[in-house]
Amino acid sequence: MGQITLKDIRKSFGPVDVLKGIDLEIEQGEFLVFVGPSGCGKSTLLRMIAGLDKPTSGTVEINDVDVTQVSAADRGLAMVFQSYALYPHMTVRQNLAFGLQNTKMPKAEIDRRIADASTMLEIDGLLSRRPGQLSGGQRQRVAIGRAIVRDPTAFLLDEPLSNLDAELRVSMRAELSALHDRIKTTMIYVTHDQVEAMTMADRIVVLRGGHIEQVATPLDLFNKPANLFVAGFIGAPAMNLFSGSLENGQFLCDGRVLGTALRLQDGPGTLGIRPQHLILADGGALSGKIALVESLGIETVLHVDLSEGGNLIAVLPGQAAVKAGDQVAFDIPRDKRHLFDGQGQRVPV
Amino acid sequence: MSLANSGQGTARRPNKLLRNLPAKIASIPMVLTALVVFVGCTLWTIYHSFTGSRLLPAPEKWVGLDQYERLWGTRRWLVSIENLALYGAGSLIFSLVIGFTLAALLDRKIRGEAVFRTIFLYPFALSFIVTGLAWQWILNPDFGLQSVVQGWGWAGFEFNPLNDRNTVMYGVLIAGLWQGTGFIMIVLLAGLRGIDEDIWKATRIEGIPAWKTYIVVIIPMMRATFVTVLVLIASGIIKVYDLIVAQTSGGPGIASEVPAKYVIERMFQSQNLGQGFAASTMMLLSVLIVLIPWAYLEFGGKKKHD
Repeated sequence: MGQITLKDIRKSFGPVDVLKGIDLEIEQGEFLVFVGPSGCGKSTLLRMIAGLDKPTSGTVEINDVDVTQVSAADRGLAMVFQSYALYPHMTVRQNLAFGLQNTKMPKAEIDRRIADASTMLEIDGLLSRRPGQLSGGQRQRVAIGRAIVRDPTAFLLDEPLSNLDAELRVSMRAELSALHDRIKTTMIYVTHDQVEAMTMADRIVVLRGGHIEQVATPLDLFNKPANLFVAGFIGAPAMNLFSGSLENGQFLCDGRVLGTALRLQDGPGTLGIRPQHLILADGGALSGKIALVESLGIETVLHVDLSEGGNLIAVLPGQAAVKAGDQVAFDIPRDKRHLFDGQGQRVPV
Repeated sequence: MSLANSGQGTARRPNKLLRNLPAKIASIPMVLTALVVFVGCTLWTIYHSFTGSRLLPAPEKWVGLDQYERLWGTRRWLVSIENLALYGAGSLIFSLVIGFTLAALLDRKIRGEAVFRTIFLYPFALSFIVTGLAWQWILNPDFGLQSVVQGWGWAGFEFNPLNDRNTVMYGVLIAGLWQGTGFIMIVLLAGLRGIDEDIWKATRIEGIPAWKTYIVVIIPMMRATFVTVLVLIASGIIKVYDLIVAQTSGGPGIASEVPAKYVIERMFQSQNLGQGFAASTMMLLSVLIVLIPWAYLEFGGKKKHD
């Protein structure tokens, strides 16, 4: 139950290709997140799975049954929207019941499902209110409740937390994760926020320009990004990337030696190091003047203009005793560096 | 300048009046128009409907309810009320149904939407006089629709509503609907476009069929648009006059008389201002009878909600 397979999904709107061949196996019960920049096709892909749109070519299978031509209502899925899409003139109870009443379910069963879902989501006190009388977080819970009462094969969530303020988003993230642990139904979640992706997902699908860039667990994505795009997308501030070339086991960039003892072929490449992994070291390979210091209390973000040109961002723990204009130098620890070849693909170090 | 009062209570009031002075001065013409023309003239008309004014207003000749008694005893007035009721009901129902159906179809993002929209809206650009004349010709049995269809071979085809006392208002109704439905459709289309797309996705996923979605979800959500449309339709119904004059001249006989025509003719042709005033006061009354309960429901009810 809840296993979904996508085979070579392509979608074009006229001359514009939005999805360019998506192959994916979604496991039963997993929390899968589609993440990527605006326009990457993640919402379109979700609509393909939901059945709200048909792919130009390719197939969608749910539990090994080809549902590509099956209408949205018959796929047994439920969707939660960014704008909640609650029916504003109906009470919460009516909102939850409306879809079920349409299937001629017996009233006792409908009432039971509503009672279960509203207790689980703590909205049982709100059942006779209208959406206009609820807060954003409450409305979102009603929207989730409307999906839960359908007892679907899988949940599809389209940026459901984007309309909530930051604090509420943090608590709703935890609630959604807890919900998933509890009901163990497949959840496919679309977001542009990588923090949501990293914290909630069992696996993350990184999309760009209609292609899948990488599918992996959050930590694998962080520790072993498959290409330059994923390396720069996951993790904030973004990974520092230095393009240069490999010669005789050394990585040279702008005349500096940034890496040694690399047993790899010569050629152009990119070296990456995350801001948090840079180590302050007098005489280090990367030196320059601090342009900007951002003190966040728990850590300090330094924007550094490098003496040989270019810049980098470093994050130091705690409250570093530096100020703009100071000269600093950093070393790149061997175990934390990422290397990419001339095509931007990861090279194991 | 200290804001602390030193007990100058009455001196404070002029300051409030002087606030926003330029805006207040600018709105004086409109306020005067509203007060003098709308309110003032209406009250003047109502007062003079209780007088025996003939060619000129005669405020000194008080006759009480005489004019009204005469009005309700006049067959021409009774026929015009009946006709208005028929035209009103037909206009309301068909405008809404046809207008909404067309709007819903156009909303489905069909190709050539702009072409269809223009075609449906074109009749609205015509005045009622032109509409009335055009439909008088179309419904003329000798060279209008009836003769064209008969020319195509269907000899028994009859479509001659304007020459029959019982069906003439239907002919007028067709012309009125043809002229006005396009505009109603546009307003409803705007309202439909204001519905969040995600609502449609939500009902599709839940398996609610399209017709049910329209009736149970979309139309209740469009309440404000429907109120606007109702006001537009209602105002069109009350003032129907030039359409009648152009299409049927109130005939055959008095079979297509309407209240507005009655008022105009009494006031300017029959030299009977008093009757005209009484009739127009009756028209105002009928509008108020509908308006006041609605206003109470809309605005009075809200206070109880909170």
